[in-house]
Amino acid sequence: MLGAGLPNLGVELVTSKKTSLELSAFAGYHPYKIDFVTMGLIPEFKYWFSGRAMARSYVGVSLLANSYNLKWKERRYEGDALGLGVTFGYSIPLSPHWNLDFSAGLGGVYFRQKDYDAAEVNTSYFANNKGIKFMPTKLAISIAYIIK
Amino acid sequence: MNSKVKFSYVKVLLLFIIVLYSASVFSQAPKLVIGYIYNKEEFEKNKKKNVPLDPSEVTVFLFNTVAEAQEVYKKFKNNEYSDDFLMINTVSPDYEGYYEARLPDNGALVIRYGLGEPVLEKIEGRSKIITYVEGGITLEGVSIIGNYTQVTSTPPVPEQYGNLIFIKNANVVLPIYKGKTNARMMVVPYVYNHNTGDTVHFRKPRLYYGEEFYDTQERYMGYDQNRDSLYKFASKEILDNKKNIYYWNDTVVLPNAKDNFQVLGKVYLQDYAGIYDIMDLTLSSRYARKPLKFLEYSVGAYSLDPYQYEEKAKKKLIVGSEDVSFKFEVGKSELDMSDPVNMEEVERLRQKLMGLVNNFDSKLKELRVTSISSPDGPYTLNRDLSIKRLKYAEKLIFSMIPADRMRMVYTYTENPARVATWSEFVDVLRKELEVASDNKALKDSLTQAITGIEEIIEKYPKSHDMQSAKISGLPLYRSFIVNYLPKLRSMKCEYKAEEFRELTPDEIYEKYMSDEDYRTGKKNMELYEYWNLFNIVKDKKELENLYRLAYDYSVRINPKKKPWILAANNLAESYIKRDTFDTNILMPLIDTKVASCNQVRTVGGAVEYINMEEIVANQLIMYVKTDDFANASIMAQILPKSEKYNELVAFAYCLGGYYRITGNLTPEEKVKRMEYFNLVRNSTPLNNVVMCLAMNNETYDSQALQALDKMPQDDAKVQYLKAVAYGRRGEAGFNDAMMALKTCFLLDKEYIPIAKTDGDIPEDLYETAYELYQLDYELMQMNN
Repeated sequence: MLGAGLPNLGVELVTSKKTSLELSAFAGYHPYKIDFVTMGLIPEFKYWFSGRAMARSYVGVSLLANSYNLKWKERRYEGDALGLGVTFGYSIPLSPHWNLDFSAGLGGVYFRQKDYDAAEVNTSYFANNKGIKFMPTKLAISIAYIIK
Repeated sequence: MNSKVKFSYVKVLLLFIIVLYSASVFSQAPKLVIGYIYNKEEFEKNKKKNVPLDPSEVTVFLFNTVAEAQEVYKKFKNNEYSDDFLMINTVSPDYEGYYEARLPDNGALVIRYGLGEPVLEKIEGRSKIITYVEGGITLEGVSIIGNYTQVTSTPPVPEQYGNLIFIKNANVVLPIYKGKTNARMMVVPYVYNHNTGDTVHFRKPRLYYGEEFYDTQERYMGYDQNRDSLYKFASKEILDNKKNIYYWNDTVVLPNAKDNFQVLGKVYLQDYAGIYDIMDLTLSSRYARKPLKFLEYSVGAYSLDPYQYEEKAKKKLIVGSEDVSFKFEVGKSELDMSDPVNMEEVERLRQKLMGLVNNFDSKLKELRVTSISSPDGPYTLNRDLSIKRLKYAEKLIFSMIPADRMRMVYTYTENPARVATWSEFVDVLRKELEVASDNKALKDSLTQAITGIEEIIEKYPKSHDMQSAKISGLPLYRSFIVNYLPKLRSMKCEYKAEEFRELTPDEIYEKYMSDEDYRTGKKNMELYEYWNLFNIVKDKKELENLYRLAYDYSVRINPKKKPWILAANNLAESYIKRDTFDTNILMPLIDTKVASCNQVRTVGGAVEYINMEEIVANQLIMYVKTDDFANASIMAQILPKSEKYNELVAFAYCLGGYYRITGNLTPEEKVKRMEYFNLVRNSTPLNNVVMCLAMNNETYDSQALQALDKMPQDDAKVQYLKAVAYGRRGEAGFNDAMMALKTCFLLDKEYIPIAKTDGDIPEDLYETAYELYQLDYELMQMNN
């Protein structure tokens, strides 16, 4: 997400020997000078195959809650999205306090947006476009610091 | 050449000499030199790969000068041997061939692998030396290249000395793919008794952590290494999928020296999910070498001087009391001396007291008269009368004793005369009730009386007179209660006297012989009496019984439960003489926290003897005879360094395996061990052979064979030892070993089970010799 110009931060809590719960938040304002404002939350529940949380491979179920306002090719898209996805990841313990995490997720995202000509000013409250799309819900390389 | 030029040449020359001298001075200062030793053949054959040798077979001899090194190098090359070799400083490399030494630049090393070709390395200013040494025979257990599919260990043959077993260089070889960085390995050794089939005890486990496992363990919230009971067993070696050999050295104390023990183990491999593999391990071979099993030694016990530890008769305190049955008339405080009861009582008391006073061996120390009167009647009247009667009795009784003796007698008592309480009277009635088992009427009366009196006491707790008045009004008072009141009235004469009476030896013996109870221990004699009996009684069995009785009695009467030192040592001596051993006898007299002998302490007038040398020596003998060499070596350290105990200590050390000279000993320790080795070796021809074979190297084995050739060849032991010596030559000596062992079996078949369980006799040698023995034996039977 950092690569997409969207700063993000997450916290993860180990909930049992093989599970953990992560909550990340992201936001963006005109990244790379694109007329795009967004913010969102991604809670994710992970199951660690190795038997020890925060080490090696895992599978997760994540939610996506996102609000966006994007201008793209003379059209403006303004709306919210809610998604559910499945993530696969691998975490490499580098030291007692540092991890390097690779993850990717796919899922369905329900969106509801106002889709209108960018030159107009739309003050309508109602969305005129909605639907479900299957798309990547997560693609990340993260650095994690373990607090103890 | 002008003088100026000449002078400058001289200056340069002088400077050069100074520099040279400084250089030579500096080059004599020792500096750190590190080195690596690798297998020459592996290097030449195996694409220049550096393969270390088995470190236990590599010795690096250190010399401060090259000349010294060259001299020893020549001797090694010529296979000459000298005891001085043992005094040379040495180091051994580790499993990677690495070693360190401090040597000057003009020093040198001689490196030797087993008895192979030595290599001389001159330091010559180098700080790192890499040496390739001929590896000779492939060593067991070193497998750098290998694909094991199971955990294996190549069990070395351990050496057993009594109850100590030394394991050197056992190793755990793990299949390469078994170890993981996200796992840990726990090796749990245990000692197994083949005779009983029991696991005797577990040794300290060892943990090998994979790096990732260690890091992720550290993260656990609340995890603290210092509170992890397993963490203290963690090894510095890391578990991963590359390294697969882990080495083991241990010294195990066994419960006894007789049974056949083996060190086995279990390996547990655990990753995050749990234990993914469990494997069995053998860390020592089934049969240990017991190199000193044939060592000859006889030990005599050490005696204490009985006059130094003589017990004297002690004063005894006699305490007694006599009931005084004077008959006073009602309300009177003086006795009617014409009354025969009173006359008889006075005479009886006089005799008793004069008996105490006139007895030469006793001394009257205290005398007092006390009285209690019954509670009936007014308290004050009763008390006053009681006091008057007491004073009269005191005067009468004290006058029986001559004034000069009475002056030395203590008579004070705080509360000599008192009136009993009604509660005490109730207690008397209750006791009567307990014994009135079948008499219902009596029981009813007693119960009624008790109830009535208790109610009155409760109602008038503070007024004795009120209680007396009310109780006298009870219906049962006149007919029943008054009959029991005299039970509370008493007058006593209490005395304390010191008795000091020492019997003669004849009287003591008479006393001992006349009463069976003294001989069985039902009655005790005084310690001074036992001391006399030790000198009188001659029969050994009876003497030992006396020692035991005196020992047990002295323990009972001693506040610290320590025995009388003479009885203890005599008992131990008696045991040793008849080849019986009990290490508990002398243990209370030995304090291992005190590192020396002959400590005498005086505590409150009593003398305490700690670590008397004869006691320690006898205890050492007991430990040696019970094969407890761990404790025997502690006793040997406490004993004073004197000629008297030299041989005993030497045998104790050698039997415990402490004759070997290893690199980590100080020069003094090396000298001492050499002395003990030689002392024991030179004690008998057989011991010479046994000690040579115990060294377990070619040079000493040859010396052993030479000595064996001079000994009678029809001795089974000689043939057995020859078999051991020849057997060490491998294929070259196999036939000779086999013949010697077969001859041994034919001479004495008791050696068959010994050879079967001897780590010094390889299995194939035993089996071949045994087969041959059976054939020969059958032939002999047929011919007969």
